[in-house]
Amino acid sequence: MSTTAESRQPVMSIRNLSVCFDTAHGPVHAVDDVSLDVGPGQTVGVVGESGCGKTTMALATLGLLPQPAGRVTAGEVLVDGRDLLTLGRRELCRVRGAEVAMVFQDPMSALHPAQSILAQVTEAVRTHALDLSASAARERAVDLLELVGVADARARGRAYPHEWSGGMRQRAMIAMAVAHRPRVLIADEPTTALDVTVQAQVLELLQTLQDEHDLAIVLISHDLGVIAEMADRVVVMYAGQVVESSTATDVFARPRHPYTAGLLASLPRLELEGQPLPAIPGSPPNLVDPPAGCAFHPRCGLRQGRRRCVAEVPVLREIGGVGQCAACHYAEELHSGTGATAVGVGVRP
Amino acid sequence: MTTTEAREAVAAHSEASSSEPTELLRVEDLVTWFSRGRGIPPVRAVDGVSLSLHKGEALGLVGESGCGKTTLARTAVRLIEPTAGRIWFKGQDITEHGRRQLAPVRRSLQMVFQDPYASLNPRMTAGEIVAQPLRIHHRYRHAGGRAKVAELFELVGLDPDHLGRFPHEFSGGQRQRIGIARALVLDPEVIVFDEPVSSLDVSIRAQIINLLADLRDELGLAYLFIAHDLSVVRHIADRVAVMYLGVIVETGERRAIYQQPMHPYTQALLAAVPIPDPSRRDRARPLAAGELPTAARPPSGCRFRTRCWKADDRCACEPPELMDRFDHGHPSACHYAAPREAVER
Repeated sequence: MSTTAESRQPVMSIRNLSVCFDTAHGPVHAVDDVSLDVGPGQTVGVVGESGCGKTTMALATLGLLPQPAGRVTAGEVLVDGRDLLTLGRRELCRVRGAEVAMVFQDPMSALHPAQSILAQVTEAVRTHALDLSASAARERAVDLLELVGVADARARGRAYPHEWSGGMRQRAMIAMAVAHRPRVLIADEPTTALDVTVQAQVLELLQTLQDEHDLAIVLISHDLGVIAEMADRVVVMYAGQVVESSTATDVFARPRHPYTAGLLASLPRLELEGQPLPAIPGSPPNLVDPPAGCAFHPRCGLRQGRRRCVAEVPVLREIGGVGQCAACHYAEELHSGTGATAVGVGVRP
Repeated sequence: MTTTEAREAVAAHSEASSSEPTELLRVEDLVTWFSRGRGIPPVRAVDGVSLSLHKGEALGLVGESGCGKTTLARTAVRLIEPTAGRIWFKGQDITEHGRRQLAPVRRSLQMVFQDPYASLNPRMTAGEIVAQPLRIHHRYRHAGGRAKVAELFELVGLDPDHLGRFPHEFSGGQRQRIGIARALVLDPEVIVFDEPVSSLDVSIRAQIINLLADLRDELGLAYLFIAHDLSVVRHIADRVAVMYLGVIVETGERRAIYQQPMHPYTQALLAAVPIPDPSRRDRARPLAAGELPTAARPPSGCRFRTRCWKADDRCACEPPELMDRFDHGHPSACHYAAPREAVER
């Protein structure tokens, strides 16, 4: 999967994207110089905690930032050599849903509460196929719902969103998102609101759709487990920046940034039963007043009082293998002696 | 639901671990239905559950949203009136207790809620929030007043200098610490945690889990720990009860549940937990089909049968009893209960 996908041209390329919010407390740099590529049939997982900028990045790619507070200050989002950020409103509407589609975390607030599900899926079908007759669009909507695993869609589609369960609503969202066979699907925490057994079903659905249509997926999640199950490549974000970017195998087997290593080490697991978890101290920074230098330095076990971490912002650089990047001055120390114990890497399975 | 056999099995099991009367909280055949008006079937949120919690023990109550775990916990501490069944606290039947009689019970039986944003009054300072249970029980002065509150702040890892701050000035993890301090201030014996880390960031979760483990060691508390996240329960609980649509489908020592789940639902639940290791992606795992049916009209016979890969005609007519089928102190409620390869992380 990943080997063939990676050798191909990316379908979507986010280049050096920066987003700033003007707030009452001053400008907040929610996304800072973020780049990622996603190829056909490939899943790129974006992982990070709340407030790290992962959703803002996704919204910015499709011109969906809340206005007027949010603005893109730099960067480009290339799809087929076209920069989405320079497109006019009308052109952008032609891209949204047709080439790049999005699935949101909370299907209840993303759906219209007073329209039947089938009507909403039909509307999504007609958005980019205006020549389609109402009945043909409805047939297509029924097919789509059945494709995403809604049995007896014609009858059940007459129901309103509140009559459907969370898992079913998310299936309806996915049906709308894939209505026009987009090449890229941005899924922002698509299973966070769902129970684990239903989450497993929805993830499997995304996988099936990807395999059938060579879909490129950007999967945003705070859940390292979900990312590990789905992603070919992983981008780890912290305080608006990419701190690590690698193949999923490398990130989970040999994390190169102390934040990634710390997150993985702090997960409850078998070998640590009855022992304290190696937790990352402190909490994520407030981006109104981010720490100087490396944003992670106040919580970092690898820093050990060194000045460089406060004085100099680390750049994302290749370390370890090809295509494995981390933004840490001392990333090399992570898997050697003292560094490893400092962030709890030594106790990883 | 639960038969005499099952009760005996559970009782025999708990007796084996200790002969002293160490039982703190016990519910028997507990039923909580929510009526929705005449002619509409009630929601059978809890439909015949027996459980017990012993001194110093951490019992994990696991299940998906809508399975009735929160209702069960709230009924057990008498925040919701039971429809049927009995509740005992330290050998005393508290099912019929009035408000006044319940006061001493409530002092020893505290609760921590899921959402640290919704469960703290935004117009009270953190210090007032933590002091409030003392005031309600007229113990503020007796307990040491502000000094006691400051002591609690330190115990849960908060800075006592921040007593005068309001909830919005704290982060999510710190707010949950305030909620924990509030639950501890009356020196309880039992704390019910309703998904205490679910709304926290990944990097903060481990801090709170560690805090809960430390407090239990230090203060000898018993925990009833509700969660949908099996990996968190695994880290905290000694014993686990798995709940599905109002009933307990499997219960046993933590190790037994995680390493040798017997009920298909437990197996599916464990298998559905994503594992943070890409090399284990292709593992074989049973998938529960469909979704949780409505608790107003639970399926006949076994409630899990509509999603189960083992279900047959027998499952549709005969409700399986929660019993120790293999004589290893690990009761399950499935006609075809059988061990499956451990699903570990």
